[in-house]
Amino acid sequence: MLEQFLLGLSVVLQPDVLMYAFFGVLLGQVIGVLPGVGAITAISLLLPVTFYLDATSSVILLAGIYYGSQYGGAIASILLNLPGTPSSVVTCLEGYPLAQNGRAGFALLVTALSSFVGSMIGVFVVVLAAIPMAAFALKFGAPEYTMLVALGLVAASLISSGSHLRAFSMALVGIALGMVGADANTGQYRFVATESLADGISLVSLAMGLFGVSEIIRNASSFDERRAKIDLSFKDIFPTKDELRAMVSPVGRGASIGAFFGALPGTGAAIASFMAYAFERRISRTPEKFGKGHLPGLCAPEASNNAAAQTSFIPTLTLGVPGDAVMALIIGALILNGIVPGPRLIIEQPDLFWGVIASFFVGNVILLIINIPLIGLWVRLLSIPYHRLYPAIVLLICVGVYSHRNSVTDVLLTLVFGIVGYVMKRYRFEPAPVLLGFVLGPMLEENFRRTMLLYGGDFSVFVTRPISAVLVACGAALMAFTALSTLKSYRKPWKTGGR
Amino acid sequence: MLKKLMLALPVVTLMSGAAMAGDDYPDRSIRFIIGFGAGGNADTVARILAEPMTQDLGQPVVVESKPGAGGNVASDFVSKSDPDGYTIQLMVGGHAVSAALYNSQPFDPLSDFTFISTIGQFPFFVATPAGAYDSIEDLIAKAKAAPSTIKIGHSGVGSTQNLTGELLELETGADFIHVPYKGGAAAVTAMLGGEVDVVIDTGSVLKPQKEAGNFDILAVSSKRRWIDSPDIPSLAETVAPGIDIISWTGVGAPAGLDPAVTDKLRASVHKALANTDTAERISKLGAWPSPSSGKDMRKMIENQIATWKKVVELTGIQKR
Amino acid sequence: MQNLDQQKLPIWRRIIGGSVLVVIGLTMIAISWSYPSGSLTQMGPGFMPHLIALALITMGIAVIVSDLRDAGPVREEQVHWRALVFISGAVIIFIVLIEPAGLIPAMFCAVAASMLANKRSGFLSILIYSAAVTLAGWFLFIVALGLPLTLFGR
Repeated sequence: MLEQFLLGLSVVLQPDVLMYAFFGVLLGQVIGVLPGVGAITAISLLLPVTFYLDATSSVILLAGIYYGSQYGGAIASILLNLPGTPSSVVTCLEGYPLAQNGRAGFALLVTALSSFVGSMIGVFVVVLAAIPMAAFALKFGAPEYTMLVALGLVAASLISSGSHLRAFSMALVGIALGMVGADANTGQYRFVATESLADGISLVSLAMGLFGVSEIIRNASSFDERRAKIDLSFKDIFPTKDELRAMVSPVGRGASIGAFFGALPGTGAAIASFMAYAFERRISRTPEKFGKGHLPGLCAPEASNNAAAQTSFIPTLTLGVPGDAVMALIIGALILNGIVPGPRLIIEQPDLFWGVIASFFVGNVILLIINIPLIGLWVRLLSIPYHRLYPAIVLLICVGVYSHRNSVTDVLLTLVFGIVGYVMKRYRFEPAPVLLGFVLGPMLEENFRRTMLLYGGDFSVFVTRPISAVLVACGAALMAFTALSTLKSYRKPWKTGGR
Repeated sequence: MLKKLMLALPVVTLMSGAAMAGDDYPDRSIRFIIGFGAGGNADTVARILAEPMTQDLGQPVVVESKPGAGGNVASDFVSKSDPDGYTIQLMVGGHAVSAALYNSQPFDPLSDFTFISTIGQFPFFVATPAGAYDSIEDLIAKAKAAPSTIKIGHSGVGSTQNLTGELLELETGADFIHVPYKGGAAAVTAMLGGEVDVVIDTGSVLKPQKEAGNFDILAVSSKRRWIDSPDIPSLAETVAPGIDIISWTGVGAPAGLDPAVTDKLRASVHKALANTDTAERISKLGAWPSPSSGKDMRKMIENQIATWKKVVELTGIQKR
Repeated sequence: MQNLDQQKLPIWRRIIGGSVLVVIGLTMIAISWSYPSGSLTQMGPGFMPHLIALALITMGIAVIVSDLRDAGPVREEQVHWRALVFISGAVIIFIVLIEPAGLIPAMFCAVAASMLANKRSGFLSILIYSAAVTLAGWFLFIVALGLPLTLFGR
């Protein structure tokens, strides 16, 4: 393996290839910071450029945009509470409170470090276990996905800082919103008020509305010349030895969770970061600290979604089947270069395969190097008083959401969700489970219905298939724990906040 | 800052000023509307074609995506745009399918458009796991022997892939379970994992798996054997004489486009397809480059709408 | 912001959260009434909506009960009416202008409107600042990223 990896490194370290890797991650980072303007827009705009590049450089460039944007997504979430992707929703939960307490620089550095370590673990999983992971991923059929998603939804009721009852209700609302549009199995329209809703509500609208717009409404009328004290000195930003030590296990756990989910085609980074967050909360001895800028809650999901971004190349490169639209574009770029991605890619094009993987390694090092000096710059953004900053944020949201699919309905929905999010918060309903329900709901329905269709309505498949059975057991255990802790907290409701 | 902006204003206004058809065309950028999101085949084809057209016409051809309702959102938008040649559309086989599948469309799929040229044509292939069936005849015989046991994975209800499977059932009398997935790649993954027994999709989706020895390709949906795969029998010559399904991509514009502009656009598309690089890119995506006249394109769409209306009616697929 | 004892709140304020959930559930059932449920093997498009709506109604009732029995501290802060009105106005102006008038006028007017959400914004500062943000937006989205958006109407 090492030998092949070195072959890959020799490909990447050629100056021109290195330049494409650098350009890719840099562009991805910028795109990631701008919520709404996703990696997919940037990659499809750059697709014609790759006509003039060889296959390896093309993929290195496009892949760099993708994982670079994962990195960048955390920045807007931490600084402005603006999540562009489901995985950065989780980053908002702990990162934004930290920034409000004047620790934005610290949060950004922790994020950069966690992302880097997470990515590296992801790369090592790809190097060491791409083939067995791909084979394992194929064992996931409809029943396994159904149970996996159900497990995620149970976890959803644990991620909010308020009551489980409220969190679970919000996850249900999310599922309901996810149903808008054409039904995947029959094509019938459901809850479609106008033609522009035929493809459903855009995730970007929902996330930016519930988080970004509602936060602007809450703060726009404030008038502070200096919004919060900001940390600029290295001592303020850098985690202490104790904090670094406290990061090690959450990052390791987060990255493992992420590496696993990333390899499953179609689930990807979104579930990964939610699961990592819920897991940290569950095993934490101080769950009441979550939601207020708790370190493990910030670094585990970041490590997780970056690890997932790397391992999501496993099905693409080894099986030739893309898990999502970004991967489909990358496969498109390969095909246009005359390379048919598929099971034989590793054998027939070792330079390409290992070159791309080595580029992940190099790209992440570049990302870390360019990120640390940028932290100072980002943090200075917060020294702009909020009443000067927010009109620009409104603009970022409008243009970002509009450019996502050139739809004014999407922009209008963003506003509606912003107002809803504002009202929800007043009545102690958290927005994060809505997002999770929205992402997981359609997957739950799709796979549940497919299971029933494939196995003739027989529920026993969920426990007779081994992987599915394990997932069922995990879900049951989680529910039992939750019920137990709920009962406990009823006895002393004022001491533990989680009811 | 303000000063700079004021200076920039008149320049930009001039750039986006109105234009007359004919000789001056085009004097500003052309919007190339696609009805699907980035990452799909349509998006890639549009970007491949936009490149040489930009060079040929001397104005940028900008790909713009208006996804939604199986391409209907984009078709509606284009049909209601000014027929000035600055809004053109990448059409796909789904244009004809939608006409059959939707109860009502806010536009007429034929009379509201000017058809410029087809770009590429491609059939669908029937694939099964390697070694599972000897031939297409074997598959159909086994499906008839045990009704409702063999599962066909397809890329979504109402997709051409789905309708091809339904038509196969109608024509042969075999009985399959149709399992919808989100896109061809998901259906392929499902067959790799053994969840379905048959996948009907395009060559670009299925052939890599055949080359890797995972799948057998049993038949093709075009009437005659397809140009690039002469060893694969057609459904028509084996089990279903009535099947002739070829999907396509093409360029359209709003109805009432000035003939001079239409000719200029058509010449540009044909010139692009005559370029070996572009033609090669189109064929790598699994389609056969096939420039056509507007009349032929319209005729083909008319025929396909009739076919799909029949299929939708006979199979009782839910209209939307 | 201050913490109030929930018991002091009027009854409608205490049950409204759960009630809204119940109403959402009922609305879902009303809309999806005509969607066929199908069978367990061939589930129709109505199956999941009905299921989720019922679950929502149940959860809504549970939330009402729990809020009545014993509610946590409630955050009481004044409603930000001004921000609600002008931020909404800004977004709506953007929506109205973006397609007929183009990106530049939409950006300028949206920024100007959103600035009214803060009462300290003076006329001149709104004008200058909106122009500056519009210019920055133009540079970012059009020059740097090359997004296919029209600058001025067509």
